[in-house]
Amino acid sequence: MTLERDVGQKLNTPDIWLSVLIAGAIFIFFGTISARLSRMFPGETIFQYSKTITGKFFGLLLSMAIIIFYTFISGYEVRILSELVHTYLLLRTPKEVVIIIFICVGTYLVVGGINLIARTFQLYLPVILIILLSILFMGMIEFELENLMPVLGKGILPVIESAKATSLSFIGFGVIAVITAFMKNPGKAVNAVVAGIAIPIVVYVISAIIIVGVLTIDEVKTLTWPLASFVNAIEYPGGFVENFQVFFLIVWILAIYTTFVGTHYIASIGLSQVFNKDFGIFVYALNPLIYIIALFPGNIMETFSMGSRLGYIGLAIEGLVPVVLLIIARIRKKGWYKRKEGGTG
Amino acid sequence: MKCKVLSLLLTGFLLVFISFGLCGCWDRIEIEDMLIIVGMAIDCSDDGNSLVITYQHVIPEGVGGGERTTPARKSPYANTSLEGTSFTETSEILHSIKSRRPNYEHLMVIILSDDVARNYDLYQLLNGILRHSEVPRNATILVSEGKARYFLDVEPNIEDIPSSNIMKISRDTKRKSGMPFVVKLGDLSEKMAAGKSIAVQRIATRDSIQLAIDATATGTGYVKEDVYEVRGAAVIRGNPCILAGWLDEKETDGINWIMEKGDSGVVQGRHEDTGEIVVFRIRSAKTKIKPYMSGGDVSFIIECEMEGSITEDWSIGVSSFDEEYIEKVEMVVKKEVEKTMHRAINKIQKELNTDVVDFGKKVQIKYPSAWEKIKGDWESIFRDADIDLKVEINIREFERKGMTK
Repeated sequence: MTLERDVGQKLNTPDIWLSVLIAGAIFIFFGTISARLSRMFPGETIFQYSKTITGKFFGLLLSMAIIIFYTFISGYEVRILSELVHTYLLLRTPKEVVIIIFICVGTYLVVGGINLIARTFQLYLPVILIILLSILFMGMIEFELENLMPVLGKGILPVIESAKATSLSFIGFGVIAVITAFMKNPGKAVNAVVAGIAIPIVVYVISAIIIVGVLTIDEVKTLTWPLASFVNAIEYPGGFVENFQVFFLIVWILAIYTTFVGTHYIASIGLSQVFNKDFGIFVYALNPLIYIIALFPGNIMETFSMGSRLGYIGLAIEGLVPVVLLIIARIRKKGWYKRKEGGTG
Repeated sequence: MKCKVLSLLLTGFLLVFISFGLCGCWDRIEIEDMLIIVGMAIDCSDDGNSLVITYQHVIPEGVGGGERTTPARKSPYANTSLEGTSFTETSEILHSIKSRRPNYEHLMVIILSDDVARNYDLYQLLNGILRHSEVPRNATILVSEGKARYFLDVEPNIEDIPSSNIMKISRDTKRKSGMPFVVKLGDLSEKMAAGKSIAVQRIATRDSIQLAIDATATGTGYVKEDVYEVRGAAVIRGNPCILAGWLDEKETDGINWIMEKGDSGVVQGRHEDTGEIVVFRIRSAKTKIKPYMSGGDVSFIIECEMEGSITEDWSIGVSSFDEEYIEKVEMVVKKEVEKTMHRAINKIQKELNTDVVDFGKKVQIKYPSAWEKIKGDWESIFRDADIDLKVEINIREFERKGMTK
């Protein structure tokens, strides 16, 4: 949503799409590691095997860190949703009301468990992709290739450097560390995670190219919601298609909803596995916490800076932690390695 | 038993809670409560210390097809002029004098008077409008010569509402000469954010002699909407965003051709030997701007290739079927195009010193690292840049009559 601005402000050249591509490649790498690690412990989530790998104390510490992180992400997602709804849809409705309603709807799905969540996501994915891509391509009418040039005008270094600003947009692939445990065929976890990250990369790259090509980099830097402003400008002769925001907001709310449900689910299942209690209780118990986190940032700037901080923390929790765990598991010969005497990994 | 009571209580509580949600949301606005703003005109007040913003809103009862003969039909629009120091200030006043809440989702045009454009940095002036969540990014921007609110007062003949009349004129830039490509609020914002200059459509009253001719022709006095025209361009400098000057129709054409925005318009020239008129209509135009850099000097070569047809020729006893004659006409047109482009370049380069065409971008694309060093004083470098033209005209057809006598 704010990806283009986040990167644009850092980068100052139109090469946002390259940054996204580079970041995407890195995240695919991290995702693969995470999937491989999970595959080594069939039927276990990261909350369970982290204990096996690092011992009880560190395992608990790690699990709590992950749970807290996903709770924060959930709160952040709700807040961002309420901010956008507040700007474009319901100008006078208190944000608190939007937040509460959204949490309620999310909880409804999370309580249903992983099967229900997976089915719902299956249903949403094509809808989101089709509408989002068609909106993006409809906006191409004012696309100017010149706005994307020069490519690498300031060299490759700033592009790589600002790739980290995209991390928030990729957060969420960490679910693989949990859902592999529930997969019918955990052997395909690696493929799943690669596909799961590749789809957003494609969408992000397309949107970065189109948005910068239409709005120019200088404008993108100044806009609060570049994508929403881009959609706002779409217009076809004769007023045939106008005020496209509505469609766009529907899609976007669906997308946020899936993210929220995913992160909420991880936090809840984490708590239930750490404390060995029923999963349902924690879903409800987390809600007040998420509500408080959502209302924590005083204004929109604080919301955005909270987002970018969460992005960096996410890089550590979803990216580095599995790498470290994998190394330790190999050294201590846990999981597959224990049984297969070395194994193939 | 206890469980049943609890669940009953819970259900009851939920029902009450949900019913709060059903009674409607905070943001429901009935369409009868909306004051739909379709046009805005921004002027300076007479003492020059504040702004006068004129809002044009729709009166729904007056709009719509059907019986136009009803004499008691309400006027479909009304204007309200308000004085204030900022956009928000005046829009708040508007809210307090109208029974309905202003809604900007259907804003079509924003007219800025030359006074305002000269005295205010437009990036500051339009900030409130650019921030407003309802204002569409595709509202058309025009700069007026004289009072801007005047143009919202002219009752159009064909359209219902002045704003939509102006919007339709300015949007239809295909195959028209003398006006720059339509500039929307979003385009202006992009240019201003980048500190680049831009040519905006100019709206002005036509001169009185022409109007008098109209009046005698129709016998009943001139048609009201004919008193203004959208022709020529106002050049807005990039930083600060103020009006730098005007381009006339010819200069605008020249800029359009250079910017490749002109697969449109006509070129009227005269045969050198006979002095007769010959008119060329452009069907397609391709322009390439090639930047060159040597030392600190920047130069450009503009390669322009136009295709089109002879659409009018006053020469007697010539044949367009004759290859040689076509070549002769091509030369005439070529000279005219070169002349027009030279004039336009000279105007923006030497007189106004604003890079409306965005030559700078071409340098940035070809010499990105050198651009970083010179972009600070680009305007002064641009002033001294050599710009050469290479024009090629191809006449592909000559419409339905190719020969006289």
